[in-house]
This record gives sequence, C-alpha cells and structure tokens, in this order.
Amino acid sequence: MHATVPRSARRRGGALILALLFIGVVSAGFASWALLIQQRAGVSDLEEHQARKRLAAANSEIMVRDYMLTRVLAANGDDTLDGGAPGSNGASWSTSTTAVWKGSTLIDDTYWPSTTGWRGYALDSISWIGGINGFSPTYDYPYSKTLTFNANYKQLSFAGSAQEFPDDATTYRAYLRSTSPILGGDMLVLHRPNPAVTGNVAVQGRVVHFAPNLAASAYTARSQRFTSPGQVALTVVPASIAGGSLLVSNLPWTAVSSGNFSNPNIGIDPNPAISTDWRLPDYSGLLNVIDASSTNASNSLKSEVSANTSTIQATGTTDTLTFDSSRGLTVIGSTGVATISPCLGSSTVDLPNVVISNGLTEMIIDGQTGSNLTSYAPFRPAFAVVYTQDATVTGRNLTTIRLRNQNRRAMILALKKATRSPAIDHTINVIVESPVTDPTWRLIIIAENVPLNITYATSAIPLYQAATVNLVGGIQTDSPLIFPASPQLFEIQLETDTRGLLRLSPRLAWAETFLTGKL
Amino acid sequence: MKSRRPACTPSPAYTLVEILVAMSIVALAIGAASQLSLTQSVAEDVTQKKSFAVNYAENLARIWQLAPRDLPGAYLLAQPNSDAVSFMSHYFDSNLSTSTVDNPAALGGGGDYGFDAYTVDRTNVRVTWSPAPGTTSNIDFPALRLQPARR
Repeated sequence: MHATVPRSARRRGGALILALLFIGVVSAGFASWALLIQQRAGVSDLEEHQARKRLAAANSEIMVRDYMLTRVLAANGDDTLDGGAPGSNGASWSTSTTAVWKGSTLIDDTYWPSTTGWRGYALDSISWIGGINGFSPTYDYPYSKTLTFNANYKQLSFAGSAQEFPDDATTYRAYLRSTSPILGGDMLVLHRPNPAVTGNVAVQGRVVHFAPNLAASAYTARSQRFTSPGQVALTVVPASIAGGSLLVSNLPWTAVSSGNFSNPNIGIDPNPAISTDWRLPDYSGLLNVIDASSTNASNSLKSEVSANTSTIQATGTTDTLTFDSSRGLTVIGSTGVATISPCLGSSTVDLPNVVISNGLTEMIIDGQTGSNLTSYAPFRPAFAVVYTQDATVTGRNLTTIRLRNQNRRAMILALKKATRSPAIDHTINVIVESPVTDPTWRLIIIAENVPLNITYATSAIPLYQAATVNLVGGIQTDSPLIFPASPQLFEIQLETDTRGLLRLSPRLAWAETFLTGKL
Repeated sequence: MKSRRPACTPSPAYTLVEILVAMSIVALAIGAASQLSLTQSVAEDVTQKKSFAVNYAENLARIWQLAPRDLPGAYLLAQPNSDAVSFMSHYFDSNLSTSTVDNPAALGGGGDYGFDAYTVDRTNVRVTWSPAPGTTSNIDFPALRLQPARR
C-alpha cells in the first residue's frame, strides 16, 4: 500500500519549483546581460589597441616612404645595399640597429629593425639607358626596386598591455618605380618654375602642371585631362579639347623625382666625410634630367648617352665643317650651324645618338620625304640629340631650330642652357618648315632653362605651308612655351611605338609601399 | 428541508514567516541586481565614451596625416562636447618639423646613417575625455607624416 502525499504538500512543492525555475531563468538572463556589458567594456580596450596598431602601422609606412625618398631614390649608380648605403661609398649601415628617435617621447627607440635583410641594388632616379621600362614583382631592376621593411609597430610608439595584446610586427614592402611620363600619356609636362603656355595647342592626352598657380593668361593649352600635384593653389584655367571647361583631376599624387638638385649631404648626412656621393632629389616639381653633372653626374640623359661609345659627340665651337655627314650630322664650327638628318635612307647607316656641347647658333633637323618618310624612317631605331650650352663659354647662343620637312624616326631632342641668367636670351625659336599643311613629327622635346617659341614658316619658294603640326611624342619643360595662334594649331599626340624610346626617355621615379603583413 | 453545505476543509498555505523570508530574499536579490545594473550602466556609459574618444582621436590623427591645410576645425568629423558631463577636448602638440639633427651615431647608434627621422613631421594627438563627472582621462596617439614636398 502506497503512502499518500497530502495534496496540500504537493501544491506547495509545485509552487516552490516554479518559483525556483523563475528565479533561475531571471538569474541566467541577468548574468548574461552583466557578462555582455563586461565584454563590451573589453571591446573598448580592444578598439584602442586596434587604433594604436593602425596608427603605428601608418607611422611605419611614413618612415619607410621617407627613407626611400631620402636615401634610395637619391642613389647614384649601382651601389649595393648589402655593402653600404646607397651611394655612400660603402659606409656600413646594413648591420646596425640604430636608434633613430633617441630622446623623443614619441618613439620607443629601442632600435629600428636590422636592415641586414636588404639586398640588391639602388635605383637610378632619373634616366637609365637599358632595360625595359616595365614592372615585375620579383625582379624588375633597374626600373623598380623592392625592399622589405620589418617595421615593428611596437617600436613606433605602441604602448598597450604587452600581456593582453602581445607584440606584433607589421611588414611593408616598398617599390621604387619609374616611367617616362610622356610615353605614359603625360604628353605635356610643365615643371616649375615658369612653364607658361600660350598659343593654340591641343594635347590629345594629359597635361601635368607642377606650377598651376601661374596667372590664368599663362596657360592656354587644351587637353583631354589636366592634373596637378595640388601643393599650390590652382589659378590657371584648364580647357578641354573642345575649348570648354575641364574638370581638374583631384586624384592624390605621390612624390615624384625628376632629378637630383641638392648638394650632397647637406643637412642630411651625419658623416659626410664618409658618404659623399649621394644627393637629395627634389619632389617639388623641378626638372633636372638632361645634364645633372653638378649634382648627379652619372644620372642624366647626357651622361648616359655619352657613355655609349657609338654616340657622336661634338662641340659647336671647334668642330669644323663636316663631322659625320655620311650618317646625317654636319657641324660647321665657324658659324655654329648644325644640320641633323634623322634618317637619310636605306643606303646609309643610321645616325646614332648625338651629343653637342656649346657653340651652336642654329640647329637644322632635316626630316624625310617620299618613301623614306613613309616606309623606312618609321622603322629605324630611336635616337637622341642632346644639346647643352654653358653660358660662360663662348658667347654663342642657340637661338634657332628648324624642323624641316617631316620626321617619322622616333627621336628625343634634349635642350639645356646651363643657367637662367638674364644676360642672354634663352629663348629658342623653333621654326617648322614643311611643304605640307599638316606635317607630322615623331619627337619628344625636353627643354631645361629653354623657352621655346614655335612658329610655322610660310613661303612659296621653297614651299612652306604648315597649318597644323602634329607632334607625336610630347614636351617636358620648365620654361615658357609659345605656340602659334589660331587658326594655326599645334597638336600633341601619343607615341604608341615606344620600343626604342623606352630605353632613352628620361623618367620620373617614385616610391610605393604595400602592406604585405597582417595588421 | 435544510440545505446541506459541504464540509469546509481549510486549504494549505504558506505561513507568514515563509512569505516574509521569501520576500526578504527577493528584496535582497532585487537590490543586488539594481546595484549591479547601475554599475553596469555606468560601465556601459564609460565604454561608450571611451569608444567615442578612441575613434575621435584616431580620426584626428588620420586627418592630420592627410595634412589638409587648415587643421583641425573644418576637417573634423565631429565636434567635441564641452559640457561638464560628457566633456571631451583635443589638442595637437607642436608639429615637429625638426631642423635639428637626430644624429644616430652621436646617440650611440650604429653606422646606419639612414632613417634620419627629422625629415618627417610628427605630432601627438591627445583627446581628453571624461569617464565620470569631475574626472578626465587622456588618449594619446603619436602620428607621423611626410613633409609637404613629399606627400
């Protein structure tokens, strides 16, 4: 016989169980809520940690970029990073762990990570004869350079809890890149200080203007695109090809080098007695690529072209009569007139690169006609003509360049007058002498300290009648450009056959950094 | 005829003592929960403020690194509060475009002449915020940026 539990007792027990269940549920919910709040409190700490890490990584990138811009782009030649700093004549820095921010409250300056892992070569910043102007992430010397920085973020001011948030490293990979702006589509590159452009010129590509703060009247070019570094206010008024308003590209720029300018080691190198061979590039838009003999001798178009033994070198002062007329160069020293024929035809040997120093008063570039123009010259290798004039030598001054007929052999014409002294007129009158109304010149013009005043000759005998000149190539200059007024037109078009020009064209160089590690 | 009423059997109930004990326990639990809730609410509030301050400081540092011409006024993503309760303020220390040479060799560094850090700008972004009325706390974010010609 079973013992019977009183009904009242069962009711009380049931109520108690229900109460306990209710209390349990409420307690569990409350505990969860409390735990959630605690976790949220922890999240704020994590947020701070993450923010510090992001900023530290950004700081690391700044350091990496600054180092690249200061030291590596300033390199002069192929100094190995393994044996010494770029261009520093072997000063040993590759094994040190140097405190950089000593004394600063900003940085835990225990050490900067060792640079022993850096190998390879420094990159010439301006011009390089040889190689391919391309890019490979694995081996792209001499046009790119890869350095891997182990930029340990904790050394860049991170001060979090080491136990909760252990130390970590941020790895950057830095590339040095370079390219010819003109061949890349920047067909009119206007460098500081005074690249005023007047006249009727249409650029079927981009205009790059490093000094857009000139007066509005100092810029009349029309182009498909217009871009400017943005370091100075824009006061010129870009125009589209059709003449309408052109929206300025506001894409961010990176610091680009177009030559080495500063004297070596000034204010930079703590031990100039040891490292005396590297220079500081300029990133403000100056141009110094033709003859940087005073600041970076091995890194200029003239020096690189001159290093080639096949290059014809002449001086307009002493070389008399013919120099190498059979190949297309004549220099008359008595008058200072040089005649250059880019392509004489299939019966002659190609004219190589030409370097003329001083003494010219006039340069005639005689192009081609007939089948030589259409069927032979376009397929000959590119070449460069470099003329540099030291204002102190003879008093002769190159004032006239005649572009006669048309030219379809790819060509670079580099003109530099050493100073901007007002004692002489630096302007060169470029006179197009064409028997057709719309001559085409495959030509890249680089002018330093040389204003160009371009005009079209018109005459019946000989017949010169150019109305529209097509320049396939581009112009890079730091001096004023004067083009003919409408209805005459000067049109700059993109050079698409870049085979030989890639090796000859002066280039801009810049640094890129990529975050390759975790963050 | 007399109606017959069923017999009245008293239903069982909790005693007064039991009820008082139960109510006391519940009251204690509610009190503790309330206290904890208050604490958690304060913590949540502090968390929110700190979160805001961290984001604010990071934004300031990032904007400074982007280097617009006029800092900080027009470029801030949000204006700080300056009332007594949710007080928040910020400042940049002097932007050090140092002209003096941090000579690594002279300071005991090795032969590495590189990383002459004086070529970069540096600053410290400090955001002061208030976890509770009458108290302040700082968040300091050091930041570097390239000098103008190199940006």
